[in-house]
Amino acid sequence: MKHPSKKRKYIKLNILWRLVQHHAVAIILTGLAVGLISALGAIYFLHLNSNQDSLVSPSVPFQKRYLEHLKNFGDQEYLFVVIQTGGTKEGKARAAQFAERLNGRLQKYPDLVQAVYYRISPDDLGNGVLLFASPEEARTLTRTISFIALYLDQWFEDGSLTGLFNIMADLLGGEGPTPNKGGVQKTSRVPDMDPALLGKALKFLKDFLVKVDEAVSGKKLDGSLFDLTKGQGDYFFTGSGRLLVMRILPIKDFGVLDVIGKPLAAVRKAIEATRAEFPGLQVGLTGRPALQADEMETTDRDMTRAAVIAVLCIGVLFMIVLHGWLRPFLVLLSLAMATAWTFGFATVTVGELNLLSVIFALVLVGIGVDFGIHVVMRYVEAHGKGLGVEDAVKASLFRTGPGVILGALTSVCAFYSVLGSDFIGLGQLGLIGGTGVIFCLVSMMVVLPAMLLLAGKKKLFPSSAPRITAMPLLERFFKYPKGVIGFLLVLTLLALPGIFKVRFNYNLLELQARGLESVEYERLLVETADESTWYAIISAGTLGQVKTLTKKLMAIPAVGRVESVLDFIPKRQEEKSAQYQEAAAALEMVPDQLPPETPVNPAKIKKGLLHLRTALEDLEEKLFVAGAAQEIALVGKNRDAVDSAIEQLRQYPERIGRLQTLEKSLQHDMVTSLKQLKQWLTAKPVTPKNLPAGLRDLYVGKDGRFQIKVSPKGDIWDFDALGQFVADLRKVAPDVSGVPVGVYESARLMHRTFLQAAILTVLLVCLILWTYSRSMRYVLLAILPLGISMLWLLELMGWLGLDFNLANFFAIPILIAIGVDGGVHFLARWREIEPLLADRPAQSGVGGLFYTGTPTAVALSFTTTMIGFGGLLFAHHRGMASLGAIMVLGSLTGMVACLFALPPILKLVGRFKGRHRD
Amino acid sequence: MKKYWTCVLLLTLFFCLGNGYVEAGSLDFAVIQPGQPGTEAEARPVMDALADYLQSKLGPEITVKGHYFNRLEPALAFLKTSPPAWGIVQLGVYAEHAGNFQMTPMAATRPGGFTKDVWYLIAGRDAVSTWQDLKGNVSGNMLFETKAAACLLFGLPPDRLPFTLEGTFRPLRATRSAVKGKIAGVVLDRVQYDTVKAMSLGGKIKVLQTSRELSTSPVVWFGPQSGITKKLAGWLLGMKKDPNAEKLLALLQTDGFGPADPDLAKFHLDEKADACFTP
Repeated sequence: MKHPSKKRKYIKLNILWRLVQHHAVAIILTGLAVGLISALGAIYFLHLNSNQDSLVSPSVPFQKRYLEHLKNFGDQEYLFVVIQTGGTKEGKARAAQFAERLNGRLQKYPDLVQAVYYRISPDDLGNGVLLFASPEEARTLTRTISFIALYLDQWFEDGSLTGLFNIMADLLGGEGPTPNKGGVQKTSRVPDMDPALLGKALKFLKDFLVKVDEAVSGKKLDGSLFDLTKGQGDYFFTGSGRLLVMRILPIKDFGVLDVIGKPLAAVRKAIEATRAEFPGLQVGLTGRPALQADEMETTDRDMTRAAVIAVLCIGVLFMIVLHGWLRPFLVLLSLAMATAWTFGFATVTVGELNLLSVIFALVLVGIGVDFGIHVVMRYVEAHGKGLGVEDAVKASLFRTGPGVILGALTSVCAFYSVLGSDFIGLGQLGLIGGTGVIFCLVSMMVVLPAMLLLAGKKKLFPSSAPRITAMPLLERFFKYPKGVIGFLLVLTLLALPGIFKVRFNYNLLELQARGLESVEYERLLVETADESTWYAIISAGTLGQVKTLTKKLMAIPAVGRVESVLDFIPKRQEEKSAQYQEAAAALEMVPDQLPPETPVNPAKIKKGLLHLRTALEDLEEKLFVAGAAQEIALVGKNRDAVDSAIEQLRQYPERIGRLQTLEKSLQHDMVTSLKQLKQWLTAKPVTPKNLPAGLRDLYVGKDGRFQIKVSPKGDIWDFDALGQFVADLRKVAPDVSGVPVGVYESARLMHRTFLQAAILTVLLVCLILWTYSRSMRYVLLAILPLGISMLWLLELMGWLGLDFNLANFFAIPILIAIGVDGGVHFLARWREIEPLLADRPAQSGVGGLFYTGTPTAVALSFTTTMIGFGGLLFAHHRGMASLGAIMVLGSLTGMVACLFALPPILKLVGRFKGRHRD
Repeated sequence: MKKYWTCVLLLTLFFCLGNGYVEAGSLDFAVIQPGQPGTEAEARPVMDALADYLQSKLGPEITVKGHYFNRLEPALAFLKTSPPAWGIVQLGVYAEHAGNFQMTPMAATRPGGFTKDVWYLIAGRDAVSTWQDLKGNVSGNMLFETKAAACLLFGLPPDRLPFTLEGTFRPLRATRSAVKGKIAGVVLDRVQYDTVKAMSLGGKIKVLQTSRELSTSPVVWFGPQSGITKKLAGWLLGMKKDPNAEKLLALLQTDGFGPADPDLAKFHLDEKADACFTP
């Protein structure tokens, strides 16, 4: 094996040593000053960009199309409130009430909630609302209006409450209107209305009669008696009717990490408050923003917990191994300086941190601290052997320097390998993280030795030496290196089938924490309604294209629902308009002016109420023989209200005057509603141009193009199903975009980028090692522990049922980087002791690798990584937990490979060389 | 509302007296349901809908018009003076007048999906324990044909009962009166009884007598049958499977029409005899 040029390297390290030796204080002060300036600069100028859309390069075709869509149609990433109805009529009614209450609460947050969609009411559809009726409904409506017109005409003669009571009684009794002033009975036939309307009519009547009763009691009227534009409308129930889905568009703030933190909190607060009014009703919040926010919150919590666990455990470990608190503190101080410098670098170069690069500090803790461990351990070892402070620091610098530098360079390679990736987020992490590793190297090789020198000279370290600096006991294992290698080989071969069980799981929902509301309700939507909160977007230039595309899309089995502006352009409008002209003509004779106001007549009011009561009783009997118990209950409520009003007026006749206001309000509402109805009946055909703005903005872009939303059917979180869905859509519309396409392409891009990064890292590491050693044998030996550890990792993953996913795949480049470190340090130390072993094998320090501090340093380095990521094993976020699992397993296999596989091989190589030399 | 119209129809659907013949070019029908709340005008849309449906089967050669009666006397007068071809009649009407108007069962209604009806004599929770101890008036909307009703429910002629039977157009009010003890009791059919049980009133009543299984209102042909009789029966029986009849059946709230109940033959009352039904 060739050795690298020691002379050239030592010259460079000598310069470094002289710098540390003569300017220790200046170095420390400079480091601190730059750190302080960097930290301040970052506080004031470094921005956080938590926009997920910024993670992928805008020049990538799928991202470019998505951004264009966003620009044209606006952000339409909704929060979904899912209300379970149980599929019953009562459940649906309760869900609708919940939605109304919740909407009322959400309207109080105009600065946080942009829009809420949960039903289509007449007001939402604009003047053309009646054109949305089916031709049959239009015919019935026309007949009904023509029929009602006779009553209206009659009522407008005096416009009194009594008149209305009588009309209602006549209608309930199925009688025609009374003769008009001319004495001519207007013949009319009761239109064959939908019997289901009776329930609605009774509810409407009950509300009105309750208001009459309340008015008599003295309660003031709150709002109008009725308003045609505020009709109930159609709620957004899923196809099965088991769920009512509300869509909420939050106002995003990309300047904070949680983007929709405030809107989400407001929505959740409103849901909680509303939930209290509806005990037992199952309601949950989901949707991509909620899932992301929950994911962010969960991972943040998990990371914090893991970090606390890691800091505590590593601190204790350091204090045990390095003896006392000062040495660990100096390592961590050096790390803190390097981290601060990296913040400064990020501020100057990128100017912002994204959702991925924001974790760079954590990564630096995992990697950067290792450099310090080697330096300090070597210092302790050298000092323990009797060297003075200066010589011990110099020895640590010279002996560990090459290994640390090599290790750092391999880590830098792992990070820089993603530079230039289309995954901008990852590229920025690579740049900042890689540079951070360089800063860690500088700090650990310059500032830390300077601090060790100063502290050592001032005798600040404990007088007693650390006890655990070597593991000589392990040396006995390698008395028979071939036996050890054979044993490991057999184990490896036996476990080999495990490799074939490892899969790549793209399902993002399975990364999320179990029991999380947003996750459970997303599942519920998929399983109960066969729907998802994701939808693809296609844009079309003309309505004709929208029609053609819709037809083709509906023929795709993977497509669940297609939404477009066509849903709001009624069909057969001319036919319906012609019918409504008839209805409008019938209303023509109804005056839209009322006679002058007259005081309410107590006798007439009482008579009218009694007439209505009789009609209600008659209706009750009819319903009874028909077996309509529910409707009877409704009639009962109507009757109760009438009875109460009659009884009040009997006891307190003077209260009759209180009905004057109600009558006035009734007149106003009736006139307004009549005008509104006439307006609707004579409305022009609905076109995209005259749609209400709220609807038009949803489906018509700024450039006039039309948006088609395509919702998938089935479990879209399943990557195969997602791929099929996207592929099917692309056959119809190659430029399809939206969340499903973005997720599909991003996942593939991420997978590709990681894979490329892993391969590139291995190649670069090999190149660096070769450049350093000019020896293929050295390169192979250095990366041997890495290769073995990766093999074992895959085997273990297979047997433990761990799959790769989009969260844990990032572990591989990191493991490659830190996996090489161990081999490099072992080789460096082996090179030092190898010439001495043949002559004095039994003496400490030259008795073998395990008589030195290097294995301990390497083991400590891997252990800190295991501890650092081990906290994630308990993470709720399953992606984070799996990342923790792979990092722990990978570090463990890396450590075992370094400690148990490399030394016997080195021994074999050593013996061979020895014999050869002999 | 649907149920209401159905009942209107079913109640109306009961009669068709007279000699039962098809006037040339006419297949008019009468629905006779004495005691049914409502008026002929209210039932008119349902009558027309049924007539329209049959008209679509018959073609323009034969006309169809429906008549609705919820009072006994006008219905009997109509059957005598303008006998329709067929009709739907209440069981009591059939029991008392099947012979007079040559009624031949050709199909059966299925109110609420039931092929059989049951009548219940109910009283307030605190009333006597057996109907034999009951005194006073007992109401029910099927009690206008008093003799038939007494025989169907008690197997005795009305004059041998310890209370008086009287017809009412307001069975719900009668039920409330019975619960309050204002009248002795009320007779409810299966649908009415189920409705009461579903209401808060359900907990305040007790059943004193339950009839045996009774036929539902039969569809009858008046007079000698002709070729059209079987066709009509076929159309009625086929309505359940006919998509065009779906809305009409929903309006009628009947689960279509079934074959004529063979037990109807047991319900012919002999006006002259003391016994309720001829053996």
